[in-house]
Parts: sequence; structure tokens; C-alpha cells
Amino acid sequence: MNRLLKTQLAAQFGDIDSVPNSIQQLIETVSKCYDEYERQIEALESANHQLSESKKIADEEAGRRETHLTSSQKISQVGSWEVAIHPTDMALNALYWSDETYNILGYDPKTTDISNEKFFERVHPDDAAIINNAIQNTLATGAPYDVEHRLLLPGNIEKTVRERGDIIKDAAGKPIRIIGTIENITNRKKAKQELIKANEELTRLFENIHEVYFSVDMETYALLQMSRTCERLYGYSVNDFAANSNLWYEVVLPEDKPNIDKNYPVMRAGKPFTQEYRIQHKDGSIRWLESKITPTLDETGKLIRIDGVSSDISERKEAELALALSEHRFRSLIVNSSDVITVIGEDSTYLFASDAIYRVTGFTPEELIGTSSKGHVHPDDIPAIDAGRLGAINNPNGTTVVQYRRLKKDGSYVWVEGTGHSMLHDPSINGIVINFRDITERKAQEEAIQASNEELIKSNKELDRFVYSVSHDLRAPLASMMGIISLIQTECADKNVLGDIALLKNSASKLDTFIQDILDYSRNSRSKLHIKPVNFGELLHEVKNNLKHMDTDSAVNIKIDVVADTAFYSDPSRLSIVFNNLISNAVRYYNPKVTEPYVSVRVDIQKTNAIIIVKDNGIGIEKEHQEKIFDMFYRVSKKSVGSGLGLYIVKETIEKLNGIIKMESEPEQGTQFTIIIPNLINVEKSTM
Amino acid sequence: MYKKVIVIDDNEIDLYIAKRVMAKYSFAEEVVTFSSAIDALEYIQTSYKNGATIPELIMLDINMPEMTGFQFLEKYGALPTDIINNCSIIMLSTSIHPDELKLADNSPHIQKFIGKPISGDALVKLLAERQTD
Repeated sequence: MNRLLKTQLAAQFGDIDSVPNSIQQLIETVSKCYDEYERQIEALESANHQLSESKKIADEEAGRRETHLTSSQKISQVGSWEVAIHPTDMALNALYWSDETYNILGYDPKTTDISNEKFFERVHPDDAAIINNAIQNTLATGAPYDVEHRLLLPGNIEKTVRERGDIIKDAAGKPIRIIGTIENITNRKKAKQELIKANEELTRLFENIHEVYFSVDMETYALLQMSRTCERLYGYSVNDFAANSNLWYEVVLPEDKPNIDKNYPVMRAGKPFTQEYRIQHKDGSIRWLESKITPTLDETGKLIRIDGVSSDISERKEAELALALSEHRFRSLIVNSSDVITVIGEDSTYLFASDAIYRVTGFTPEELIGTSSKGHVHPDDIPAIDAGRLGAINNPNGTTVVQYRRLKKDGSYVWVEGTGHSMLHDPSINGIVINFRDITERKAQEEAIQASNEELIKSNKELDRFVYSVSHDLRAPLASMMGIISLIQTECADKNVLGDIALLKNSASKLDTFIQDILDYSRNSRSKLHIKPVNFGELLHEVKNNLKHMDTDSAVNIKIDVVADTAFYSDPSRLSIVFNNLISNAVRYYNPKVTEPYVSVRVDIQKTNAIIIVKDNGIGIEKEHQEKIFDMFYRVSKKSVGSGLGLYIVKETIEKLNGIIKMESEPEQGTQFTIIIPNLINVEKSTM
Repeated sequence: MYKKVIVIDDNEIDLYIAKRVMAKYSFAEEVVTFSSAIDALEYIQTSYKNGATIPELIMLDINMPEMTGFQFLEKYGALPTDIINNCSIIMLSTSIHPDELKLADNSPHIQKFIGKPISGDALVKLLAERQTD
């Protein structure tokens, strides 16, 4: 400041020395004053600065306190609040809720205005009285209150809170406000309830437990403690055991006492041990017990105390015994069975073989175990057993059966049938179980059956040929006879001779029919079906023509009616046999009393069947005979001229064609046969 | 009426009947019978060589010793076509085994089967069929 003024004056006066002294002194004074002024301002600014700094620190402190308060309320779930008490009527008016109070009551601080009503909206309706009473009491007595009550928040959320409140008084001692806290103790409450529940369960568990815990002072043999469950296990009470320190030993079955005695040195040595023995319950029943005992020795090695637990193991013991028994039973089954049981691993190595293997193969189980099973199978059968083993592995629920030849110790082979079942998934076996048995005898029988079957087929064929030759040789001379008879009939005029000749011809033709029947029967029963398209019209006319040689032909009218919309396949030669028999029967047994004897054959061909109806107005069949007419060699009466084979052959032939035949007949009215034959169009040329 | 018919059958009575019936129904101008298929075959071959009349119809039994009807057919198939084309064969039989029926089906020479004994009806029918052909 001083220099600045001096510079200004120098510029004014040309030189500082030209400035009058008085001015110079004044300047000095002004400068000094100014400097003092500046110094004071600086001091003031500095003080001001210090003041604002300390205010900032104070603000920060207040903020921190606020934060801590809010956070700690939040963490501890304790909210705080304040209500004003009206000076005259003592009515309460909410003044302040901390954030946590809002939170506990389920309100948003930003959108909710506090009021007593808002508070009571959240109080569980049943618990409002608790608070009201507490506050009234506090107002009356001035003592703080501390209550627990429930809240009921929207969404049916129930909370339990603990509220504490205290009265604030003014200088005159008049209550002006209540300040209080609200603490969310829902979880704590819940935990407490769970703890109570767990305790109850534990108590129940102890009451229901089957084990008996006990401790004995081994210096005085005094029972230190024993759980009450001993009553269930032994039938004796804790007092009984306390009164008689040897009671536990007295109830042990005499034969099991040595089991206990032998553990005495172990106990004395301080080593824990377990013993199993039977006792007699007070009710007389026998129980299996297991006792686990832990002895305690003092520093000198002297036994001072035992602690133990005894449990009833009767059920387990019985199951064990049953298991041992059944195992014994199975073992003896395996040992004595004629079936051999083997177990092989996935790599075909023998893991087990039952003793029976010696009987079948001459090898002992010891000789086999560890070796490959393939070495014991005929080389030609290895593919079969390989396939069988893979089959068993791939289908663990099924069994595979393989017949193969198994090596005997003498080098020969024995036929066996093995049944394999994979137990690879069962860790107790971890192999393929194969049981096999000697089937040499069965195999021999099978081969014998096979051989006799082949023999039978051969002799059947021979028989077939024989029937043909014989029938041919029998029919040939008959045919010659008939030929000669026909010649005589055309050339002779003598009525007596013609009469005799007619009888002769009748006999010859009867014999011929009989031979033909036998031939037909043989043909039907032995030969296969020859399936071809069937032309019923042609076939029936052929049959009709063949019947012309019969003597009665003149009288009976043979009517044929075929309705064929579709092709029909069957065995024509067999159908021919059927028609021949049925029509010739109708012709043979026509009714002489009717004026127009007839037999009508109606064939209705459909896609799946042919329905054939052969109907006549002949003499019919008596009811009593109807059941039997299809029987072999059954003849209705002496009037019957046939062999008794005709209808039997018809029935057999229709059965061979997979068809059915039904007969209805009324004596003196006629007979109707209904036949249904399947259309074998889809099995054409195949054989049946 | 046929000009020449041959009947081959080892049964002499059947041959006799055939001859009688054929004569009665004026079936053929000439009927030659053989009890041996071998002889019949030889006869046909010789007739052909000598330019004699060739049979128009052969009636052939199946069951014969030495040469059966089917064996005859095999040899017959090897004969000159002049003969085969102008001649029909009818098989005679009392009972036919299905195997034989199959053989007959496979043979191109067989015209039909007729049952023995040869009856007048059968001959009349054959003549009628020939007319319509």
C-alpha cells in the first residue's frame, strides 16, 4: 500500500523527493492504518474460516449420528417414536416415527403422514386393548410400560412386536410427551416357539427310545444313573436296578452268561466293548440285548466307572437267524441239486461253481474257478454260448437258454442245457449266473423222436403209395368186370340174364364206390392242399356226369346254380370229393313217393367265403341218427348202400379246407347241407 | 369216325372191351391194341417209316409194367412232329395219384383223362367233341 501511494506521488511530482514531507508523513500514517485494517480483515477472515470448518465437522458428526441411528434401528429392528400429550384432555397426538417404525408398521415414510389412527390400523384387532391399557396405566402412574402385542399388516402378515414407552415431563413436572420404541420380535418369537417344540420332541424321543442308558460306579457298584426306558426293556424299574446292583446279570440266560463273563478282563483293561446276550424279561419273554460299554479307569488304571447303552435287538437277531437258516437251506439246495450253478464274470472267467459240477463233468469247483469257461465248451458251441452270454448281459431281467456240449474231465463231452441270468448289476454277485443240467438223456430222446418222426413221414408216404397201388389194382379188374357187364347188357335180350347181370353190376359198383371212398379218405388225410382257382360250374357238371353211371340217375334232377362275382381259390379235387359224396347220397336216397325228386346245389361266392347249400327232397334222416351221420363207418339203416365213409370223408375234407358243414333234415321231407368254405385267394399256391 | 385208333393197356380184358365197344359205336375204321407200350411205340415208328397210316388217337393206360404211360409219353415227345401234330392222346385210368395228375398237367400231349372201362357214352362224347373241333 505504501509503495503504491509513493509510486503514484512520484508520478505526480516527478520525483519522490519533491513530495512535501507532511504528505509523506500522512501517507505513512494512511498506509499504516490501511495495513492495520487489512491485518484485521485477514484475522476476521481466518476466524470466519475456522468457524465454518468447525461447523462442517459438527454437521458431519450430526450426519454420522443420524446414519448410525437409522442403521442401528434397521439392523436391530427397533423403531422409535414420540407422541404429544395434550395439556388439558391428555389426548395423544403422534409427533414422530423413525424410519424403522414406518418399516415395522409397513408404511412408506415418504407417502405416509403419521397419526395415531395409522398406528392402530396396524395393530392386531385382538391386541389393541393391550396398548391402550398400558398407556392409560403409564399416564396414570408415570411408570414406563413394556408390552408385547401383535400387528396385522396388509396381506395378512402377522408380526409380534415389543413396545416400550416412557413419559417426558416439562420443568414443572407435567407430562408432555411419551417417547417409546417398537421392536420387531417376530423371528425371535418364532425361534422361541420352535425351541419349545424341539424340546417337547426331544422329551418325547427320550420317553420313546428303546435304548437304556446307564452309568455305574464300579468302586461301590452303585447305579449312578439309568434311563427310565429300562422298564420297557427289562420290565424292572430304575429303583429295582438301584436296589439290586446285580439285577442286570441275574436276568441274563444262564447259557449266555459266559459271553458276558469273557468280557470282564476287557472291561478291567478299560477298553470299550460290545456284547450280545439274551435276558428274561419280567413278563417271562426272552429278549436279545446288545450292550455297548465304555469303562473309565483312574490314573492308577483302576476301573472306577462304566457308561453303557443297552438295546433290544431281538428283531434283528431273529432276522439274522432266519437269514442264516435260509442261507443254509439254499446252500444245501445248491450242494445237493443235480443242477449245477456257476457264476462267470463278464470276461467268461469262473467265479463260482457248485459241487454238483463234479457229478456232471468230473471237474471240481476248485479246478474251474479262475479259468475261462470257454475252455469247457465244445468249440462248435462257442458261438452259441457267446450269443447267450451277450443276450443275458443285454437283458438283465430275462434269462437265456442255451444247449451246448460241455467238456468232461475224461475228454468226452456231455450235452447240457444252461440257463443264464445276468447279475452283473448286483454287487453281491457281480457276474452271470448260469445253471445247467445234463440233458444227454433228453437229447437222446429228442433224437429218437426226430428219427421216428422221419421214419413216420417215410412210412406215411409209402402207405400213401400203397393205398393207391392197392386201390388201382382192386379197381382195375372191377372196371373190366363192369365193362363186360355193360357189353352183355347191350347185347342180351333174355330178361332173367339181364336181371342177374343188374345185380352183379350193383355189387361191383358198390365195391368200387367203397374203394373210391377209401382212396378219397387217404388222399384227404395225407395230401397237402393244392390251392387253385375253382370253377364251381365246371366242377359240378363233371361230378354230375360221373354220377350218370349210377342206376338211379334217371329219377333225380340235379340242379346247379352258381353265383360267382369274384374269383374263388381252394382245393378243387377236395371240393369234388365233397360234392360227389353229397350229390350221390341225394341221388341214392331219393324219395320214391315224390313226383319230382331233385337235389339242388347252390353256390354263392363271396370275397371271404363260398356258401354252398345242397338241398334235396329225399327220404331225410331221422332225428336220432342226425348226430352220428358224420361218424366213421356209421350207416343209418340196412337200406344204406354205402360204406359208411361218405359223410365222414365230407366232414374231414371240409375241415381240411378250414370250412364248416351243418346239416338239417326232416324225415320224408329232405335234407339240407350248408357248407361255408373260406376263399383262400390270398394263400394261393402256398401249402397248408 | 376215326381212321386209326391205338389202345395201349396191359390188361387184356380191357383191350377186349375197348375193341368191342369201339366196334359197336363205330368209333374207328381200324383199332389196334397193344398190351405193351414198347410194342406200340415201335409200331408207330415203323408205320411212319413205311408210310402206313398214322394213328389219329392213342388211348393210353398209365399203370403198366416195363414202360408206364408217362414213360411212353416221354418217348412219344421225341417222335417226328408230323406224327405228334396229327395225333391226340387220351389217358385211361381207374385211380389217379395226385403226383400223376401233376405230371399229366405238365405234358403238352394229353388231351384228357377218361375213366376205365371205356364206355359207349365216353366214345360218343369224344366223337361229338371231335366234330365241334
